Amino acid sequence: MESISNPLYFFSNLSLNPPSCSNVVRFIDVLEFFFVAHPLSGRKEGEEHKRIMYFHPKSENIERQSEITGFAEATVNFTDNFLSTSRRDVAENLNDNDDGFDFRAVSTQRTEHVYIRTEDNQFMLGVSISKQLSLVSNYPLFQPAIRSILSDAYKMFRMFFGTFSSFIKNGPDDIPKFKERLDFFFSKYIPLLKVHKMPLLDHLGGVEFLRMSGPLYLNVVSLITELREEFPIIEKIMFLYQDKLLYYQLSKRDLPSLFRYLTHNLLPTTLAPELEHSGRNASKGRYLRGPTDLTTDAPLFGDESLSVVHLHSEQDPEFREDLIGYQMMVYRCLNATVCMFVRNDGSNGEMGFRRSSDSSQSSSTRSTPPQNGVVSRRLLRNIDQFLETELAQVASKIGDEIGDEKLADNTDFHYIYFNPSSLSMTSSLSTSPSLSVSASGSTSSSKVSLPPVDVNRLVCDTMSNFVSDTEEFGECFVKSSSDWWIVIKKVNSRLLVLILPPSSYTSSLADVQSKTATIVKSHFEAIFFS
Amino acid sequence: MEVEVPGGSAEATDTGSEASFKVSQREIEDVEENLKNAEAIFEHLEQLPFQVFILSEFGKPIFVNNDRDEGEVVSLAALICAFVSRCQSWGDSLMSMTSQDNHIQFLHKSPLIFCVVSKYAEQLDQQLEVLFEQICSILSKSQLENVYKKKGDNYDLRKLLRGTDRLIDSSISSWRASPINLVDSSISAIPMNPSDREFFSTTMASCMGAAKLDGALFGIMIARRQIAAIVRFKKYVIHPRDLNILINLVSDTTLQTDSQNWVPICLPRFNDTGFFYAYISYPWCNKDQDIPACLVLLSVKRDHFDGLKEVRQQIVNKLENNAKFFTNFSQAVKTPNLYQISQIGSNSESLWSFLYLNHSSRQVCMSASKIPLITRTERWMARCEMRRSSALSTRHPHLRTLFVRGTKHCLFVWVTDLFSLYCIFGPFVTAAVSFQVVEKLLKSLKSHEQRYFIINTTSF
Repeated sequence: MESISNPLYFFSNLSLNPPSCSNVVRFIDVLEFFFVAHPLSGRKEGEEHKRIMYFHPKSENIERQSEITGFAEATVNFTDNFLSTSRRDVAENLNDNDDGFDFRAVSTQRTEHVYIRTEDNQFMLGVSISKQLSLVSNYPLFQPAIRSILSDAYKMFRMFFGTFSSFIKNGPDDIPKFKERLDFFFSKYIPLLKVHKMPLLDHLGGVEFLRMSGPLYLNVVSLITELREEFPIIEKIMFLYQDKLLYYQLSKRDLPSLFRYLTHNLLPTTLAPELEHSGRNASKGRYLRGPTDLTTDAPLFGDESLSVVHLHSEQDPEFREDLIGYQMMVYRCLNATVCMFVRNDGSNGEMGFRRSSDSSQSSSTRSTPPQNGVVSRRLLRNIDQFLETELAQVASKIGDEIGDEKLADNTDFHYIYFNPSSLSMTSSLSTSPSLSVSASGSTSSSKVSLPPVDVNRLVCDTMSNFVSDTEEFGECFVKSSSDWWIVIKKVNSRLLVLILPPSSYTSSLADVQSKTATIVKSHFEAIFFS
Repeated sequence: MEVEVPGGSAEATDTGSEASFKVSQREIEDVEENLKNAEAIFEHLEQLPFQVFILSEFGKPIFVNNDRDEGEVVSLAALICAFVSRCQSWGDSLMSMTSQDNHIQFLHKSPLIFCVVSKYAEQLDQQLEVLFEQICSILSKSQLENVYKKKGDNYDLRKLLRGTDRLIDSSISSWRASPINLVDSSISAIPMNPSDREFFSTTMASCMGAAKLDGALFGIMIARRQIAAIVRFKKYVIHPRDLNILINLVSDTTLQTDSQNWVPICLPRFNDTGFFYAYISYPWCNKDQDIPACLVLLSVKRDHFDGLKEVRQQIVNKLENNAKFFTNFSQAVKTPNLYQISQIGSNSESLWSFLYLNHSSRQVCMSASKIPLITRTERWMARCEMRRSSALSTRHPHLRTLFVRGTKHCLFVWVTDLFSLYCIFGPFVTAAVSFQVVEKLLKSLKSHEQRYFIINTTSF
């Protein structure tokens, strides 16, 4: 089952125990249960348990599993009684366009449940967090963040396996296969999932961009343009340096999931071999996935074939739900990673080849027996030849530039910056997966201690109560009794959250205002005009 | 229906949002027949900011404040009951549900279950507690607990609560008028000259004391849902929640005649197993003066009616005999002289509204409304901001200062061990300026403290 062609091969056990001082908490440490249900399958009396497609923990007895999923379903129906007229219409039209999963939350003395419905409300995912455990783990419960974590889990599954409904479109006979897939995915995903002690980060769900100079950025853009011109079969592309994003050409809706998968799962696992071989051929690029031997023309089967991800089509209007399978090629050289996506669709693939400048390629695919997907060793070889020199040049330029820059982490405050239109997010409180730390050779140590859990909670609650989603501007100053100050600024929808530790310079509101102005000027001027 | 809310408009008396709101709740009943189709009903329900269900833990509906048909109410009640008992079977207890645009809060106080559906998430738990205490005030907690044991699970509690729906209704209506925890766990004093209040209290205390009625504990003068004067026997204290139950009771229009009432009432925060007997009279109601003030004398003895009637007459006589006081008093009650923001002095134009809560006495002072927070919607908006910030500071006891700059207004919240202050400023104010204004405001409140607060409760 666990072949190399399976993307989850790389959901390997990295560091399972984050140190106590870390920014993150293992999700299973606060998790009570997680489920996927298909209510339609459990309609018959006495067969309610059949709606359960996946349940964590597996040790839970089937009756309680039924009770929990039944409770969730009943909650949805009950709350529907109180939908206002205006919402009624909206709810009917509310496809799961990615920001708006229809959700319900239930709070009990001991737990916080969140349920979301997807795919025309056919499926339901639910999660319950223990209030006791989250207290112990210093994890502030913030319902919108749990909602995002839940929908992210769904999106990640969908990216690798397609929609839930695609599994059972042929009727109930397909359900065992569906359950197997869910089990396969979530049994790995959940134990590895880490959530931020600053839940706002999980809620915003942005990606981290690399700040770089204009000329260098142009270098990157022209490299990608050339690459796409040379290989028109490549439809979508992503360019990363270390664990930061430089450039992307794919739907914004897929970006966070892909980025998360690459930076949290795929890239870290490849780091170890890279370090081992650092002695020889350091600048030689290589594919992180797929066949190791590119010299033959043997068709790609089994372990050697590339994994497929399901992405939104860029051309389609944003609300289109159709997902298209793409084969993913990940090429890495000197900390730079190029991720290329080729449509995994027979007819389209053929057309792509015909347009391709390299005509011999199309003949080669035709002459060989059908293989998994349209990517052949030959294509990989050609791209490799193209990239190995070009990418190495660009990558070393980037390396030189960011090597000169001091790490911006040397600050005496904590911050979160988020731009919803580009999804760009940067924060002193985010996780840096082992990747960047060891790759850049320095631990990102901020001078200030992490904010206490009640400050984190206050940030979240202030955000959700006083910073309107719809307003483009706003400003908020909060002081807690422990003398931490929280500053939230929203300018042109761009969000900046500053968390200032107790200090003698920030005793009054006026002090904090001037301190904020200084910080914005020195650290955020380029991206945050105010 | 002349109920003025604390912090109501300074000039007009009948724009109190609560009064108008009450009307809108009643209207629904009146126009019920016109609501032929379900759509119209839904639209109507939408206007109710709070839909309340009270049921027994066996699933029998006891009270609803909306006009869903009986069948629907019964099935919703059964569902609510099922949710609550399922959580109970898990060794847990259900608190709330949230969907895209609704917040549903549950409270299980055996043998009753309370449920409220609202667009506003704040303080719903407190509100349900208030309702529970409201019902306790009618039946007492011990009686409530025993009734199902005696009469069986299927007993219809409505039989015992007959005629008290309007009290629950008006309690619910008052939620809308007030930033809830500020008002229901606190009270406000009607602004009066310190010397007048002093005279008032000592008069009441001396009359109560002279009567030597063993068991008569409190004397309270209520006007416009605010306290004019309060006296107590020795060191007995009355909780603001209990006072609000009394206020809710005497605001009931059916009582407001020039006759006197003798009402048994349980004040759950004082003692949830026994009853007080409240001698309620409106000494100057429906006479030439028409002063909307209500005198409540509380005793634990059932046979004190005649004695308290005597006390009441003495108090009224003494008050009326002091002509200077009486003119001032009727003026203060008829047209309450609320705190005007202009009192603060220069630079205060940027301050639009404030609410000050003294933590030790649980008394609030709310500014008279001024432009631009005049209409019902405008004031509702301001109250929502205050509710929200007060909810935030309840959830986060370590919150000290909050300054929010919005596009329409700014919010300034300051919480210390002694007080909480919620201010709405205009949108162009800077944090520094708002802080200056607030400091001036606090000084001004301090110097007029005795006018807006009852500093000492006189004992007898």
